[in-house]
Amino acid sequence: MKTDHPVKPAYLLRAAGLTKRFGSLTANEGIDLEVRPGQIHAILGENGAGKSTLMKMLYGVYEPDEGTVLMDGEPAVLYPPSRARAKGIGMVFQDFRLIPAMTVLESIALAVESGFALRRKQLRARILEVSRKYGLAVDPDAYVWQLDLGQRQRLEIVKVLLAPGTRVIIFDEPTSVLVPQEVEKFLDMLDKLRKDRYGILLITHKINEVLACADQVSVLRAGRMVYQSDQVDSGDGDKLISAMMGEKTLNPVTKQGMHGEEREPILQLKDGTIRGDHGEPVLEGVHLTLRKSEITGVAGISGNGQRELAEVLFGLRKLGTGELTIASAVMNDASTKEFMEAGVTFVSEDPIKESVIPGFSILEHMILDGIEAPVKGANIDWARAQKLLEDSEEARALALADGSRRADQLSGGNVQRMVLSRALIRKPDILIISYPSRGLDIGTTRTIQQQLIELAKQGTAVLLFSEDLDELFKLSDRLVVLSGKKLLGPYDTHETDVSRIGERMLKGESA
Amino acid sequence: MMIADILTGAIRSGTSVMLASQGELISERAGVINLGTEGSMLCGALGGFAVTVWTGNPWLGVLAGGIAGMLISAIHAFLVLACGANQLATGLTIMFFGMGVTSFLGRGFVSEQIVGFNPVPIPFLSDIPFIGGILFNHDPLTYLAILFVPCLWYVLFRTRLGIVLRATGERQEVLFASGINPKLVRYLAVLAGGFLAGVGGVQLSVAFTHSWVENMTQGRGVVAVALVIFASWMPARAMLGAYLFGAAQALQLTVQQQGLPISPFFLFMVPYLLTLAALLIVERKQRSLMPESLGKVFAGDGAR
Repeated sequence: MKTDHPVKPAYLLRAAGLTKRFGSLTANEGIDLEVRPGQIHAILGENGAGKSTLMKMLYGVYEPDEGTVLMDGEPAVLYPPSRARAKGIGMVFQDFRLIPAMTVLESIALAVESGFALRRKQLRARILEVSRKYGLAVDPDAYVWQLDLGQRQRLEIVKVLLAPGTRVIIFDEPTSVLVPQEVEKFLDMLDKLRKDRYGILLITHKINEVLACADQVSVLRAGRMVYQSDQVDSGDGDKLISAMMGEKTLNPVTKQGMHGEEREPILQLKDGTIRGDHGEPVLEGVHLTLRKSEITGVAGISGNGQRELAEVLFGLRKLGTGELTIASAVMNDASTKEFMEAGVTFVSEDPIKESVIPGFSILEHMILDGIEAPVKGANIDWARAQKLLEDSEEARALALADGSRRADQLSGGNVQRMVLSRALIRKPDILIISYPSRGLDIGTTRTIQQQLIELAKQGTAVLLFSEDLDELFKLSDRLVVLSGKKLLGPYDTHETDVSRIGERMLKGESA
Repeated sequence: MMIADILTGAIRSGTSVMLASQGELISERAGVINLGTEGSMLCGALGGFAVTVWTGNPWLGVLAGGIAGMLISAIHAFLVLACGANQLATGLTIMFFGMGVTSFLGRGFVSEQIVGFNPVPIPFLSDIPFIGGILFNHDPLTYLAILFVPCLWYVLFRTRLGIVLRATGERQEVLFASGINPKLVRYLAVLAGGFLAGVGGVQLSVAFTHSWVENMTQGRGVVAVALVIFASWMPARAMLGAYLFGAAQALQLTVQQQGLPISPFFLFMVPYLLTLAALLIVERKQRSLMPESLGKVFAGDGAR
């Protein structure tokens, strides 16, 4: 037998000098990266640092403009995704690519099976085996629409593991959909994968997770690798934060003098039943009171009625049974317009889909939504409107893009800035706001958080939906939890803690 | 006796609608609404009849009718999938085109006579009292049509092909990401749907009436489209609906023959009225089962 063949490389995948440009924007520049078998390589970076672009190049969604990828010591072309998959690269996306009307088994079959008739028994056995081995509980016969986000993620992971030849697995912000208890299990699973010699790329912006599990860490900032290390120590937190943030300084979010007092209720929902899109009850027996100058946080795993509750409070969805009052006026049958007149402003969870009219400028959006526009004769005085917008404190604080830009060409973060400034400028009596920091970098997130606190100080009742428990605890006076068709609480944020709320998110009342 | 007659008639008269609805079901499961089904049925009815007249072989008629139905649905597929035309508008146009073209080409066949398909009682089974006469005394095409329904169910829910087909109607992006071309799947589904509608037309002209009359489908293709929705995209339920429609047709004929003093125009309306009522009852509950991207066209070039 020959013994002189080249030594098997110590890496599964090695990228060198990867560069990707979109028009004039350079999203990634000269990225070097290695994935080794049995190691977790964490990629840290703020939103917009270029993490997703990098991962999409490695999964073959984008073709790199420059640079090479080596696998098995040979140059590998990963574009399009079918090639990347054939080379053993699997990806667990943040927005799951699943079909609600299909069962778990069918979803997996679509991705991993070939041939005509399905060998259901065999596939089921393989699913259950992987699921047992890595602690990924999934029911093969459940429909995707029945699964919560954590279960959907487990399904995606099983799919990747069952795909033939998978050896590199990319996780895109995997813990953003999980509650604290699930995060622990997820990290256990990562550890098992590591022991089975999978190469793992973990994209995240949560430093604690990196410190808890990574073997290697790379930090991306503005499209470049600014920090790489083959060692991760528990004391590296500050070093990593400063690598992520660069020169910027963070203003700490502060909140004072708002605890303890009983404030005047302004919105009350009594014994409400809220139905979903198909008429099924999503929440039952809901009692909720919003008070002036108070921020009420809504915790819960997404898909537990957050969207439906928010829509009911803005008249977009009819309340099933129960009574909804605002300043003692019954609002059960009120239109959205009447809700707006009653002082309610709403920031939806998906502003790109629900708040952006293609072709309209930022300024036009502002005026359409009732920001008072200066007029010259019968016409809108566009120049002055523009100036007013530019001069407004809220728009400046959020670094809102130029008012003449078309909103459908803005990035997700900029759309978020637009809808947030719009909501803040109106100084509403009641603000229903979903996921305010989604898509924003740490700096802007802190700004918006501070702005919400200021708004509450001036008397606004805020209902804040968020999937980030830290954010909820930082901002809220009280917390309610959506779990198992119930709205639990309120709990005073000073008298509870993250783990107790997490417990309720998972187990409902019995916790 | 009358009940047995009506039920036998239900199958005779409903099988054409049933076949068309199975075809439309395939097409809609892949995400394309084909209102041109009526046109496909007419083309199939005429094509099958003509070839049977020329060759004397009804099986060649079935083949020809299926191909005729497929060709006209290919126009729909091309306009909708390649040109991005509106599915409803295109479908309606195809339907009227089918009516016109068959009326025109079929002028010479109106007085023709054929033997076509005739009932072949299945030994022993057809001797079962009551049920035997209803279920096991039909033409071969009808037997095949009924056997097709469980086959379609099997393909839809027990094969990878079925999953691919359904995924196309739900989220084409997912399919595209797994390296399958959803547009191709849609083309094939529309063509298969057209073929089945064409065969349904053949059943009407070559097996049921043994004649060709212009616009002889009388809206059966449109009923088939409605039935698919009523059946919430499930093959067996679509069959049930089709035979319900067939039963109403048979009832209408029987009542006319009995000479009851009811206006024939009213009786003629009954099957459609029943279908409408069925839709009203079921529609509200079933809407959520609709394939998610039904009616949407996906660029499929990975632009997103």
